[in-house]
Amino acid sequence: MWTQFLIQFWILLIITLGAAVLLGRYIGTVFAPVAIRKNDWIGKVERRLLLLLGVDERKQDQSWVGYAKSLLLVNLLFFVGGHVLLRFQGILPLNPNGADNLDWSTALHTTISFMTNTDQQHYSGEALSYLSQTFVLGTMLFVAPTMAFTVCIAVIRGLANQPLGNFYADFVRFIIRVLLPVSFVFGVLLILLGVPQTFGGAVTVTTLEGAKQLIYRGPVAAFEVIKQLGNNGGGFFGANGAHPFENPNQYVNFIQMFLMLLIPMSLPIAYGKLIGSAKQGRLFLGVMTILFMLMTFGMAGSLFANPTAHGQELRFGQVGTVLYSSITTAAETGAVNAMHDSLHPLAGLIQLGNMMLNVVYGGTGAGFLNVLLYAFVAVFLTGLLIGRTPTFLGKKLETFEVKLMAITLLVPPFLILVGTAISMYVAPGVGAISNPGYHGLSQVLYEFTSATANNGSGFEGLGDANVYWNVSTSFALFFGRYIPLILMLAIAGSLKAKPAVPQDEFSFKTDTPLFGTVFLGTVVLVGALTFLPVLVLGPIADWLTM
Amino acid sequence: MEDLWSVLLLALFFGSSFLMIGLIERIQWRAGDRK
Repeated sequence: MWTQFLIQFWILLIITLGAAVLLGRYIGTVFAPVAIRKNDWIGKVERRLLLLLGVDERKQDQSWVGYAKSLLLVNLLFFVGGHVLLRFQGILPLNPNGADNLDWSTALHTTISFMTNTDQQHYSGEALSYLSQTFVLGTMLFVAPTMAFTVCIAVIRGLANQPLGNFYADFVRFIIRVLLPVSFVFGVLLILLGVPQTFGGAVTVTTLEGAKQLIYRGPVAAFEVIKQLGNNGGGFFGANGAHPFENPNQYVNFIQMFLMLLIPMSLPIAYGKLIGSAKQGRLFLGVMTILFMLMTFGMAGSLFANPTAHGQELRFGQVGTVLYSSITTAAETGAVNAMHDSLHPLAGLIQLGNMMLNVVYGGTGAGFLNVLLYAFVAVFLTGLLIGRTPTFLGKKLETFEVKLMAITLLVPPFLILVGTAISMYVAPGVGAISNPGYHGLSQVLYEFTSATANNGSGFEGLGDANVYWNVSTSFALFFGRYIPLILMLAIAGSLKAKPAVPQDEFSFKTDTPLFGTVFLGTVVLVGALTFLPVLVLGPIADWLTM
Repeated sequence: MEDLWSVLLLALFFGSSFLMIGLIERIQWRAGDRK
C-alpha cells in the first residue's frame, strides 16, 4: 500500500509543482503594478472592458480603504442577487426537475457559503435548479476565489512598496487571465473523460430489478472544473466527489487533486517575482510543501492502519481517499470523495489540523495571506528574541501592525472555539450530533473549523440542515473570511506608507533556511497552542478510546 | 416576514465590516499615520 501511495504522491507533487511554478511566474508577470507591466492584446481588451465599467486602472490606484470597500461592495451585490434567485428558483426558468424555493436560512447560508469560497452545503445538490447551479453558484465559483486572490496580490504589492492597485482591474484580470482559460481547457478534458455536461433534465431508468430510478444530471463538467481550480468545493450532487458523475474515474480524480493544488502552490512563486526575491518565494513554497508532506503521510499512516476501510472511497482505494482527503483540507477546497466522519479519528485530526493552520498551501489567496501573517509573527518573535526592531522586506513592524496581526490571528480560533462551545451547550446544537461522546465534539468542531477556514467540507453525520446551524455557521463563514482580508489589507496599507529601512549585515534575513525553520516553528507552535486542548477532547480522545 | 431575518443579518454582517474599515482608518488617522 505504501509503495502505491508513494508513487502516486510523488507523481502528483512533481507534476503540480512544475505547473505551479509556471503559473506563478505568469501571475507574477500579469499582476505586476500597472506602471511596469507590459501591455499585450489581452491587456487592451481588459482596458476597454474596465473603461466600460468606468475604471481607468492607470489613474485609479486605490488606498487599502478604497480597495477593501470595493471588495465588500461587489460581494454585497453578488450576495443580494444570489440570495433573491435562490429564494425564488421554484418560479424561475431552467428548472426541469421542479426544485422548490430554498427557505430563508438555507438561502442565506448557501449564498454566504459560496460567496466566501467555502461552499459548505446544508442542502443536497439536487435541491437546486439549473439556474441556481449555473448562474448563482456557478458564477460565485469564479467570483469567490477572485476576492481573496485580489487581496493577496494587493498585499504583496504593498510589501513590494508598489501601489496596491485597483480592485476592479485585478478582479477582471484574474478571471480573464487565469480562471477562464484554465477552466476551459480542463473542462473539455473532464467532458472527454466522462463527466456529463448537459442542460437536459433528470432521466428515469428501469433498473435490472425492474424498479424505476430517477437519475439527475446537468452541466456538471463546467461546475466541477472551477469548483476544484478555485478551491471552492461545493458539489453539484449531494455526494460531491464520491458521485460517479462528478468523479467518474482515477484520471478525473487525479485531475481534480491537481487543480485543487495548482493556484495555492503558484502564489509563493508569484510573490517571489513581485517582490523581486524568488528565493523567498521558493522558501515559503518549500515550507508549505514540508507541512503538506507531514500531514499527508500522517493521514496515510492512520488510514492504512485501519483494516476496515470504513468510510473510504472503494472506487479509488485507500490511496485515492488519503490523497484527496488531505489535499481537499490542505488547499481549503472542501470537495470530498469519501466520508470524513467515518475515517480513523487521527485522519480527522489531520483534516482539522490542515484547516486550522490554513497555510498548508491554503485556499486561493487566503492561504498565502496566512503565510504572510505567520511570517510577520515569526519576524516579530525573532525581533523580540534578538532585541532588534522587527522588519520584513525593509519595513518596520510596529505597534499598529502588531495589534492588527494579533487580531487577525485570533479571529479564526475565536469563531471556531466559541461557535463550538455554544453549540455543545444549546439544544439545537447538541441535538444535531449523531454520534455522542468525543466523536460528537469532533463533528461540531469540524463544522465550525470548515466554515471559518472557508473549506466547506462536512464531517457529515451532523444534522445541520436547520435554522440554528445555517445562522450560526453563517457568522463563522462571513467573519472568518472578511475580517482577515480587511485586516491584512490594512497592514499592507500601513507598511506601504512607511519608508524602507536600509538593510545591512545585521538585518534579519527572511529568505534563509534559518528563517524557514523559525517560520515553520511559528506555524506549528501557534497552531498547536491555540487548538491543542479542543483537539485532545475531540479526535485524540476518540482515538484513545477506540 | 422570514426574509426580514436575512435582511437584518445581511445588514449586521456588511455593516460591521464597513464599520471596521472606518474604525481602523480613524485609528490610523488619529495616530498621525498615513492611509
